[in-house]
Amino acid sequence: MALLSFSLRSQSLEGQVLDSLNQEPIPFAEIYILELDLHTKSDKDGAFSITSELPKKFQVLVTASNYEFYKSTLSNSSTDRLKFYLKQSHHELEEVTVSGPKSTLQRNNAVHIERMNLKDLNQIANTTLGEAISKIPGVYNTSTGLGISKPVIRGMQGIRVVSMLNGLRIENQQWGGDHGLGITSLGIGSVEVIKGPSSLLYGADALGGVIYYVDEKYAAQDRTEFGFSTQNESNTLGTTNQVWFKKSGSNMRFNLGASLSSHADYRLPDNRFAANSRFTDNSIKSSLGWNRSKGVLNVRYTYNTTNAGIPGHTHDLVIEESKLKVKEQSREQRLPYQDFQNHYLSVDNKWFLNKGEVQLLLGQTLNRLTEFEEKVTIPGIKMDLYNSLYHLKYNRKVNEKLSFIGGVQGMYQMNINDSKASEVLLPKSSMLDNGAYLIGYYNLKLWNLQAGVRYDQRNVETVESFKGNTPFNQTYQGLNMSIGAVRNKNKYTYRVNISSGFRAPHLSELLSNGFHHGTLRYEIGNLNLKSENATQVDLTFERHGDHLELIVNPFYNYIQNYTFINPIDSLISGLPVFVYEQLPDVHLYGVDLGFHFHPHFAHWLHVEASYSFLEASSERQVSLMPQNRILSGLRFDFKDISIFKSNKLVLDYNYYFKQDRVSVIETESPFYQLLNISVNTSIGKKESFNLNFGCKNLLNTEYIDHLSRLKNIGLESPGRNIYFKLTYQFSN
Amino acid sequence: MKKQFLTIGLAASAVLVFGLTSCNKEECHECHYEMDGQEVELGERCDDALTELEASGYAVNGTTYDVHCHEH
Repeated sequence: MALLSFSLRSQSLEGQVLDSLNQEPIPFAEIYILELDLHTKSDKDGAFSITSELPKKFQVLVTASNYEFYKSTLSNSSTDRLKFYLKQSHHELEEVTVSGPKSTLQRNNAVHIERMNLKDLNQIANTTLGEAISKIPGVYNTSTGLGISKPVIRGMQGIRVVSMLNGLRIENQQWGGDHGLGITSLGIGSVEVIKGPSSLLYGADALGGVIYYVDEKYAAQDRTEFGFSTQNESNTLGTTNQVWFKKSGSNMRFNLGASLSSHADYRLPDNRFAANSRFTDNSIKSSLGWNRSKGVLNVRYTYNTTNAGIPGHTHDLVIEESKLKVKEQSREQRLPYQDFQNHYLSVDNKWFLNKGEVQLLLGQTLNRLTEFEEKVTIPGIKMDLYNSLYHLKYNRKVNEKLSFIGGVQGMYQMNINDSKASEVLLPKSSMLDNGAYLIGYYNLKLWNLQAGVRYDQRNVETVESFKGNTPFNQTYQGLNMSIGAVRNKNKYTYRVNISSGFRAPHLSELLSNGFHHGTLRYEIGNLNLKSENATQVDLTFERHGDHLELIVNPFYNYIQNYTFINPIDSLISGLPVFVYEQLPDVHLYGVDLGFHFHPHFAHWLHVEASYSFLEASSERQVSLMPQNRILSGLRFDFKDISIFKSNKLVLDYNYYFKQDRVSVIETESPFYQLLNISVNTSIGKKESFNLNFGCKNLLNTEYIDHLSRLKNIGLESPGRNIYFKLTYQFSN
Repeated sequence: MKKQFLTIGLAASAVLVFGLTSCNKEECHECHYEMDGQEVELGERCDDALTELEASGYAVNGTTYDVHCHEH
């Protein structure tokens, strides 16, 4: 890792990217200056030029498809024209991860971070972002129909999974099992997943893991990009339309985009429809980047609004199937439904100092949740969740081997109920988080070592008495650590990481006392809940061969004071009553395996598969543990045919094992298998148009996933879905 | 420069069009109440009248009935 900058001066960085074997120019290679988050592309002659105020020393990363990456530290005092020679390779492109304490290549991280580009996840197009991320090994999706879904990492979901958007924490009442992601795929370039306790970096709540969404890059320097896409699906008569605009100058960069999505009730395998599973999902996103003397500034804003019917909602003691599965499909809004509005604003500032780098992220989010149950103008629940965040960190390199990062992080959250709502599930309340951490890095020959410690404090306070309870005020504390080591030699990577996390009880778990129609139950909180604590051991073995890549990732997670919701033998207004309780300890263990085979004798063929296995052990069976599964795929790359280029045929076969380790509130789930297929092609000299068409659930399999919230009422998942997606991109 | 402004303007306009297409329209629903186990139709109500009816109910001979509008 190179020394960081001392001072900046404006300069043109020019050069050429060439093949190391035959010295041929490599067009469309990406050249990044990591400190400045700046990049450009080589032209058809492999030539490139970047003009900016450059730090005295800076890191350059050069990547190109079918080539190994090249990384180097350069000095701004050099005026020579640069030549980068890349070695041909069959490896998948390795990229820089950003969700760790510092940006670094995946294989150099002592914390195992799974990174996927959204384009790769969308080779078979997904209806929602939630569906896309469920293709990542170890990550699942718990859903209430297609419109409402949330991620599950190694069996943990809800408040135990922290979602971040470019470093900004997403707070959207995620305690609710029926409250969705809060963002769409608009402008998202990649997703990074840290599985297991991650409190060292992300504070309280990151017990199950972190899903870190990274926006698409800005346009390359001095370029303008414009594009749109339209995706249409037969199963929901759904349409998703997106448009975006990107412009980058020498120092200023700007992205702007919008997305509209509308889906009718989804079609079941028997050609009936899941009543009221319709939804719309709209979004606007903008970001502004500015490189200036001694720093980089990014300002980002996203607005997302989701309107989703609540399928399977009934107060009947005996559920009539004809009310859940109907003969006519509709998309018109009807009761009951949820309306979410989310605003996310972040200002991210980085300064280059003489001997280090300081970064300050300030954020403000607003989540407005409205549920309409019985009345069209009077909401059942209406809550505003305001969240103000800060994260200040200092990155200092002591010498070539040793560096450290220290930081402080926190947020102030206020939950306010609207007086128009007929019910109140949670009281008006505030939450104040503050944490401080220190992480050290040491490079010992082939080993990269990392160790860190963090202290957090959370204060939860209700502003008023609530349904007979006096105002509540409690402070929770957590001391957490992470120790890890990674070794890279030749084609092999070995990694071991031990990390801890904690989660203070959420207000919903402490003070709930009301109907939660989205989950079809009456919920009662428990003031005696303690903080959850978890410690995980995570091992990784990776092989990065030219033709075969392997990963073996076993893990063991020990959790104390595990909170869960339990039914009691009682009904209120026809809905079952659930109370929050705790188990003294839970053991979660398993393994994620994966391989990618790209045979030398058939360069047009890619074979990929992953296997996720998870077991939970405790004095009573833990609920909502996902089905073990195999995700596999074949990809065939075909030669260009006339105007059709980059042609691919993708076949996915996914097998979900039966789940017979269930809690008292669950039933067993049988195995099921799904077959998906897609064809991708690009049209034109510049491949400006991309067509992606295919079919999901090709065999129209009837199944209900174990994590589906509609399982208890026997409402199946969607049947066959034929889709068509057209994307147009223009770049000058 | 003019071309850049034009491009930015067109893009921003496209985004605004997308953003504004979900603006509120007049909201009307068929409403009813239940009396002696029978559903009594009240006809269509819109906007403020709809809000008032749902909030206050419907009075018949001194008895106020809870009103429901929209299919459930």
